[in-house]
Amino acid sequence: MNNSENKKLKKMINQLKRPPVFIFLILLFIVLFGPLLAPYDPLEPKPMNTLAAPSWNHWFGTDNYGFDVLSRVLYAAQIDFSLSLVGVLIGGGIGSLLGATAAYKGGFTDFLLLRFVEVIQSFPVLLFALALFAAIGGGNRNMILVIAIVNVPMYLRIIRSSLLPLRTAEFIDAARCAGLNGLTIVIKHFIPNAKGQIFSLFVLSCAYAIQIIAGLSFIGLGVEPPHPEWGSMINAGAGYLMLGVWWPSVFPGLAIVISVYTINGLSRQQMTHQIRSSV
Amino acid sequence: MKNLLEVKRLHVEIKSNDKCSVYPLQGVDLQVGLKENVGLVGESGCGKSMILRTILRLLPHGGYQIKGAISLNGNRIDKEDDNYFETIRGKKISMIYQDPVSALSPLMRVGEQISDIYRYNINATKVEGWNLALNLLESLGIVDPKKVAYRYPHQMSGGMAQRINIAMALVCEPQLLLADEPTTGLDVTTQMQVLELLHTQLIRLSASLLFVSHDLRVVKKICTKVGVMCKGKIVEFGNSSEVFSNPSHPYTKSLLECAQI
Repeated sequence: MNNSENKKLKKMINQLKRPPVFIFLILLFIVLFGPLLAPYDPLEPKPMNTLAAPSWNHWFGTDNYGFDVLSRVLYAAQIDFSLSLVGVLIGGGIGSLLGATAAYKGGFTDFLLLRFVEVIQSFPVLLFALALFAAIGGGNRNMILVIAIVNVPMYLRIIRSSLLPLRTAEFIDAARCAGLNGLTIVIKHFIPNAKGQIFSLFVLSCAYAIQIIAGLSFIGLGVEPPHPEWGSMINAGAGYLMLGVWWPSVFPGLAIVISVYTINGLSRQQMTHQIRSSV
Repeated sequence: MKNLLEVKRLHVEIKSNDKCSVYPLQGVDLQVGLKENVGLVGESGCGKSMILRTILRLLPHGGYQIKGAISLNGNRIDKEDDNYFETIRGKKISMIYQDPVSALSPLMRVGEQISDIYRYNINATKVEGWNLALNLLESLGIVDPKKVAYRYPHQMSGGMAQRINIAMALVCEPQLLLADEPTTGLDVTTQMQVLELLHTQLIRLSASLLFVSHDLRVVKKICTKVGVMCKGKIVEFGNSSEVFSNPSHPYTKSLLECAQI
């Protein structure tokens, strides 16, 4: 009894020792409490103190408007993470539901949904987002919409193909035979069978979504300029790179790299964990 | 005697992509009376299961009924739409499957599966459904229903899983039970137990049974009437004692010879 408890504890500690989990916990802390940790107001420029090099007063230096880079990086973490999370939750939810429906219904519904997905996927992500922003304007809400729409096809395809074998499974037949309607079967029997895939995909697409948000903000779309966002901060600092002023763009860039790497690592770990526990 | 289920001159076609159709049923006539056990025997692929699937309209992709009539309690059901079938599946007609473990969802506790069917078909609360499931399991001879209801299908033996399946089929008290070789995957002693349970439950609900099997002994034992199928047709239909002791069709004779009953 005692031995098994010890083993559990050891296992947990070993999990924490893995770099992605450890870094992710730090990231989570920053996302949750970033605004409290930030030494300055990220929206209060100091025109007297522009492009100051990193020092004890400004750890990451200041940018061309005199904003404190560290504060802005911390605030931006919250914006980037929450936008990507909400977008992926919406897109992933709709995508999984449609994918499961396609797998369950088959035939014409399946055909229609797959062609719809192909149409969306045939546009490059950035071009698609650009068109959407041109049509409905920028802002956080539309950024979430873009993330959601970009994620729907991915989820739909993967969930559909992983659930396809269930269409002929006997217990699905038995469920229909017991008088359950289509929607109930999709939600009760199809979706739970793709739990693992949905979760892995969810983690991966969160990382992807952060990249998209940063990329769109870099070209001046999405999150509106005075608000801190990693992509737009890189863009703002990019003009001064040639002058040797590296800090306004390198620190947010580093933040993107670390977040995406950590989240991807988390998903890899989750997948290997899944494979091991299923054996 | 009035018939509960009547199937008349039923033809079914399954279309496949390469325009080469299969005709699994070619003019099937079948009657199941009230509180009557009817057996269907025949070789594999002769269309036994297809009859059950046509009755419930759960035909495989591309399958449809070309001709014939199916009536339940004197009302034709084969002209109704799919929504109507959702209202009778499980409530008036239900089905037991051949492989008990694969007919259960691997990700849900079995008690939940039984109570869910009750809850979806009859608007009941979760607690009502769960209690009913426990009662039903107990009446099906499961020793510790509270414990068993929390198990997953892979944690059970075949006999136990088949009892769960029977519970699922009976939970809404149907009038007609379709059994698609329910005892094929079980050993002889479990088979007898399951059949006896099925029999007592049928008497309790005063329901009828349409029993598909290729095990002639079982059919002889529990069915009052028997139909012998061959290549999509019922070649002989009558009281089981008569058919087994005095077969008239050459196919029935050869079938009985093979089974050595």
